[in-house]
Amino acid sequence: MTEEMSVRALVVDDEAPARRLIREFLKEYSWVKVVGEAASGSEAIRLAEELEPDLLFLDIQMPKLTGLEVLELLPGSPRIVFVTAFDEYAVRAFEENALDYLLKPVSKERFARTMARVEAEVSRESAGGAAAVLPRELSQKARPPGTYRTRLVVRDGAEVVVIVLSEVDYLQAQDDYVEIHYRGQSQLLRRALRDLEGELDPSEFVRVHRSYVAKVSRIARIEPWSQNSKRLILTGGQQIPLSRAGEARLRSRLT
Amino acid sequence: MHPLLRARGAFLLYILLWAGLAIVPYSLIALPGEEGTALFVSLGTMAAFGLTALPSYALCASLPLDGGRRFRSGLVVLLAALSMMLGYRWLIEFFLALVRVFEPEALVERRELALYGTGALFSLLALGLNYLLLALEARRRSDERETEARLLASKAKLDALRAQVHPHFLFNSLNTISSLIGSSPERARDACVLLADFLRSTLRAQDVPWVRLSDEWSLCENYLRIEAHRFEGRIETHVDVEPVALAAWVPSLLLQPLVENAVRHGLAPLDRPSPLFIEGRVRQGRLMIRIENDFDPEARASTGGLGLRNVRARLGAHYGDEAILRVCEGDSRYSVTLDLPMDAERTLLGRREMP
Repeated sequence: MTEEMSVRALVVDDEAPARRLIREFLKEYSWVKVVGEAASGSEAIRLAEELEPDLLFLDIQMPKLTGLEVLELLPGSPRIVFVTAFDEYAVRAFEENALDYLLKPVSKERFARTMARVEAEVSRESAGGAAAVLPRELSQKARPPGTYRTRLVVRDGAEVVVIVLSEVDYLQAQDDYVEIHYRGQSQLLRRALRDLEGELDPSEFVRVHRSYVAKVSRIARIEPWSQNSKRLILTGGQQIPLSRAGEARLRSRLT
Repeated sequence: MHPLLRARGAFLLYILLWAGLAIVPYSLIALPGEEGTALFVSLGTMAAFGLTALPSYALCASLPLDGGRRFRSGLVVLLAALSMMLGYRWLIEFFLALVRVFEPEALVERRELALYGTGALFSLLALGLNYLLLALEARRRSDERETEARLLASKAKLDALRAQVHPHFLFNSLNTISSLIGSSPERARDACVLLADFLRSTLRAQDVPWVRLSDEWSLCENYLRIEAHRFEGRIETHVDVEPVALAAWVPSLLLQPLVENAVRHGLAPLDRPSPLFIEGRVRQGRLMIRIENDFDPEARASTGGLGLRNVRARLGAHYGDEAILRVCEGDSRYSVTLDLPMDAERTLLGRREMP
């Protein structure tokens, strides 16, 4: 590691003592500079935008936004070290994908090993090696396999909006975005619909058209539209197109 | 369903009982040279009587003789017995008519008084049998309920232990202590002792089904002090418990899961200091405990109702229908109220072990 090299770190944990502990451990690594601390997920996203850290210590179980949800909205591609107290499933996902993680209470040896890995990676990257993984991809990797999402998080200006999937009526593809329709309003999420579809519970959400995914429980009826096309009427009165393949998928899901 | 219809053996025995009793009408109606007729008529009558008496079970089940309207029930049962007696008399004529289809000359003796008398006896016997079966059934049910309550309680205890020493809580607390060792060793020592005390009293509470509210409260207080180290001033506890309430007996580990719920699902997800209100009152012989806290409606999707379900199940096991648990969810306020009988004499469990 060269003398002038410096890694900017952000520590994210809702518990102050836990943040202090990471800070204390980091004192021994002169090449790391703690540029900020965040006590919540939304604060972490805001600070990451402002401070552009290279390294993030990210607690998984946080109020409002979980660590994984933070990753979905995190700008840039800082290196992530997950911190968790107890979560068998998350730990399994970390192991399988060779992600860096620390268990609480954090041991100094484990911390040293993790930092050695981070140091090797960072110097490799600065020497022109492969860039770090995008946080969003990381969050998909860290998601326990076989589980479906219960919430979506989107940015609305400076705000982070949490959308509970049980309140969603339907999703609509809009170029590179997905428009989420819920409670009579809508939000844009920068994802491909096809991509997001795989993370939703297939017993609840069905792709009814090339660019529409509808919630089964919100469907009121099917109506003919033009000569050879049909549409869905939702319980809230919204109308969305239904393709032939979509109708087949819907019927197979309902029987 | 009629308990006799549930087991083939019992049903067979029941029919045999009535068939055996056919000896009574037989001896009353038999005429010399007409024994065959009398045998057929009495056997047929008794079998039919036994079968038609089965539905009266439902009637008896709806008319408990030890209930509040004892007199009315008794009267209805007597009327039922009377109609069964008439039915019995009619059955004899019916089977005689049946015999006469083939043997027009068939005859039986008709000693009316004796026939009505035995009919009345049989009717009362059938109805009495119903009440006997009902009593046995009630006994079986209450045994079942007791076993179920015991199972539930032992499971609830396990769940309670799991909830208390929730691994997440334990590991986070240890992490807090580890951090405090560096920054403020005195607080670290304090937190260490608190955690040890908490674990000790939780373990002890497993073996004691009933505790004074004061003991349960000190366990909760202990828990809250550990959480205060973790959340550093974000929990503002306001406690107002009457001394008379503190002396009340409550099932052990009843309050702690509720306090923990308030912290984990209510206060922890809020990123600002928020109050936690705990009130204990005694009103008209009932103990009222209220836990109230703020919550973030947005974070609600991540909350689980396991703790609450557990508490509800335990209340049912300990108090039957006499305990009330009310949950009140406002826009950003959440409250749980326990309304318990002070004198829990009728509890199913653990009273004996109470000191």
